[in-house]
Amino acid sequence: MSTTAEKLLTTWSRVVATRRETADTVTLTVESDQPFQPGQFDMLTAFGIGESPVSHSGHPRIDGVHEHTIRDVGAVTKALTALQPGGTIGVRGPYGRGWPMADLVGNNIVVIAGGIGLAPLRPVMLALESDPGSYGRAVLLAGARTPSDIPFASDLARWDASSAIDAFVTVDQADEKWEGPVGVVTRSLRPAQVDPGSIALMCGPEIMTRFAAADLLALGLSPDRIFVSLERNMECGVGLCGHCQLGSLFVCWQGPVVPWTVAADLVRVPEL
Amino acid sequence: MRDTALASHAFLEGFEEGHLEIIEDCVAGRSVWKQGEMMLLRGGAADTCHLIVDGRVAIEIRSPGSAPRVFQTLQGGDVLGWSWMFEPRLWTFDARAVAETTAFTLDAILLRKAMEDDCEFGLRFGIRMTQAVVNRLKAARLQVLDVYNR
Repeated sequence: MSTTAEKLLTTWSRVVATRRETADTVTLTVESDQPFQPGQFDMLTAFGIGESPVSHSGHPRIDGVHEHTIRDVGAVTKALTALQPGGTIGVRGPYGRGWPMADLVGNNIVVIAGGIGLAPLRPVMLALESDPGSYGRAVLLAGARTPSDIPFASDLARWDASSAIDAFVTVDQADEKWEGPVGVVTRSLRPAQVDPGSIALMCGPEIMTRFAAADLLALGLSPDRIFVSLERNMECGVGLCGHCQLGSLFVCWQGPVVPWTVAADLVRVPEL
Repeated sequence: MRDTALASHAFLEGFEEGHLEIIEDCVAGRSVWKQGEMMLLRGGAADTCHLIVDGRVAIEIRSPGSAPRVFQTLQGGDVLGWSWMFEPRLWTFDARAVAETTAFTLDAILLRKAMEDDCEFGLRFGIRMTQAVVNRLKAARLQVLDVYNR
């Protein structure tokens, strides 16, 4: 077991590939043998600029590389999304609690993702896709602002065609070519015919997850079977600095994935 | 003979037998629209109410010189059209079938009269309609908030 000091060490990793997902979002493939759980995150360093928490977005198998999907929203993420193959980034992690993968086995699963929130859920979807016999029916509801903001378009097309996954993609604002559903992502819950005994995994803007949780509860899902990945200002990653603190919860260490029984009261408090 | 598909439509879930019979008496027929066909036109007389069985419907608005803008889609289990409840009883937006769409079409003039004649039915149907309006309003508010862009 590594010590806290060891957990805080940054190692340098080479970028082996980049893939543009949308106008402002890029997936980096970096060399790494460090095992991780779906839902965990790494702290990525852009040399000379700073550090930013980024979820793992690739398959959790150990194959020498990790994937991280980054949206350009500030100085660090701008530098990270500008990297090219052969570039170098700093990596420390993985940190936090991920999705309850063991609990998913044998269960029906509903995954609700908003925008770039699909990134931390992609490792779950890839795991489900590669071992469909171990899980029940999997439903994915993915929402995006516009059709051009939909990340992982090739994955979504593959999952939509797969018999193991029912994928529903919804946009808030359609363009002239879009022929799919328009509206909030949870409008697809009824046509998806979600089983009330399902385990739900959610990640996206907090407003979206609050409304999605309310809809899931109304469908009869149990709050302890609804899990959400919380987004806060993670800095140390090990529960020491307190930047990510949400009430009594250290999101970087006791989260980012928590059951709705924990999140419901916290996201209701405006000061938090 | 009762059309079981009507009684089991998601919008009518929980309605008591007597009220379902009233609604059944208002059914003008099952309608089918091909992909691309207009179902409602803005400014037209709002004298129908559609319970969508399957397919997909785009609610859209047009302006001269530009393509129609879709702001919401409806699907099986949804209700299409509530302008028949309110003056001036004209459609506010266009509705277009973006996939082949089937619906039970209710005669809204008969339906409105039934709501006036049987106050309990009127209240129940009115509340159900209001719930649909509230759900769409909540959804529209979330869309306006542009939550994914924060």
